[in-house]
Amino acid sequence: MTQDGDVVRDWRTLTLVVLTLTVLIFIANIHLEVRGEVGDVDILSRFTHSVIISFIFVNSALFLITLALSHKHAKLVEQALGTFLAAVVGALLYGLLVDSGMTVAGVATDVWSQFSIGAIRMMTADFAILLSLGTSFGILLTLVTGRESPSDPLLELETTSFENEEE
Amino acid sequence: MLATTLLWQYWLPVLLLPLGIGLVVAKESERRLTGKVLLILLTIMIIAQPSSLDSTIEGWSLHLLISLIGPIIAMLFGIWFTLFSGPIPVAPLPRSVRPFGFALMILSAAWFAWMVFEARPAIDGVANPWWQHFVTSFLTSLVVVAGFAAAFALIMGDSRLKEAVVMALISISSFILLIYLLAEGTNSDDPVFWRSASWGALGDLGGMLFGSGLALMFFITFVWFGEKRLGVPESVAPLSEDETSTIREIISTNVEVDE
Repeated sequence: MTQDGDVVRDWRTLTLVVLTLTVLIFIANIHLEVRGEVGDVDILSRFTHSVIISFIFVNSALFLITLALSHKHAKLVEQALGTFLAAVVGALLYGLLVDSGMTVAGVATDVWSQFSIGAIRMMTADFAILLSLGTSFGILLTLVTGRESPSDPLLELETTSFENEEE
Repeated sequence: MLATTLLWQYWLPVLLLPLGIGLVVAKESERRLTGKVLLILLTIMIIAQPSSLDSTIEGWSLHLLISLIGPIIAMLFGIWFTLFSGPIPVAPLPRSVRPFGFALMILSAAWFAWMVFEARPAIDGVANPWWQHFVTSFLTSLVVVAGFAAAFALIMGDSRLKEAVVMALISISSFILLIYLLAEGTNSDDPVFWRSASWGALGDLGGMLFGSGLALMFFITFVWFGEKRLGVPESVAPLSEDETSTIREIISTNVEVDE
């Protein structure tokens, strides 16, 4: 087990692992795309649409959760108003983006068609991420809790009677 | 164009889902009840769609969800049985259940692989259009998440080499499966479609990471503005004689000693 002072180093290593895996996946995709045929996927448009749609999603979700959890003692005006306005700004920006001609290929070019397909794509990817998180950490939890360890010696100690001690 | 039924029975429930979840996790029992009722209503609204699932792109997304219920339930029960039949003091199941839990997890993985290679979800011979996007997104995120879990177990854990190796194997297997799909494809789909789906999924996942991160940064800023407006709380007045005596009484009752 590592020492307390190594926390920053540990998280740096973990971040490096994640970044390395991400780069590996990118390299594999680029290599295979170069090697063989690939359909017309405008990755920049997909990325841009994904950024704005997920921005709208997260702000809308946070706005609704803020409303659900608000009560008379909570000062949530900035939080609620800010997330709502950010979602509206995101939606306006998305409309401008589509109107300016930056659309995703293979979908009708009106704003709603572009948004609905993008939103379902996001939800599908969210679902996939949730499943991978649940599977990975579920399996890790079963493995980690499967190890037999000696019982805590503190459990074998008897409680002390204060009355007897005073006597 | 947007059909009215889709607006009421797909997009509105999707929009209101965070509100229902927020209400369910609230402290007050009335809100929790309202949240549960809302979530049930939203589920009924989605299930009661009059149009068939293969008639709209939204319907196909629900079909994807339904198609995956089998492997997901097998995995959930597998994890549950294995976890609670291990050496844990909380609600333990019989030890004999543990191999069955592992078997369910393997069944889930095999079921998923069978769907990928042999039985792509379809309705009347028409394949689900979201399937490849889901599979490539799932495998990509599984590579990263399982790899992270392996490194986490090794770095943060105490002698967790075995656990780290298992998680690393899951990560590597997912990577090999993804590469195989991109290079060779499956019986039903040419590798070109898998490559296009994977390339697009990378754009989507990257965008989601960036957009969600940006939204969270905005949220933290809004909370900070709210906290700043509250100012420094006023100092609290010292306890009165009555309050002091009440507290003393409560403490002495609880510790059962005379002060």
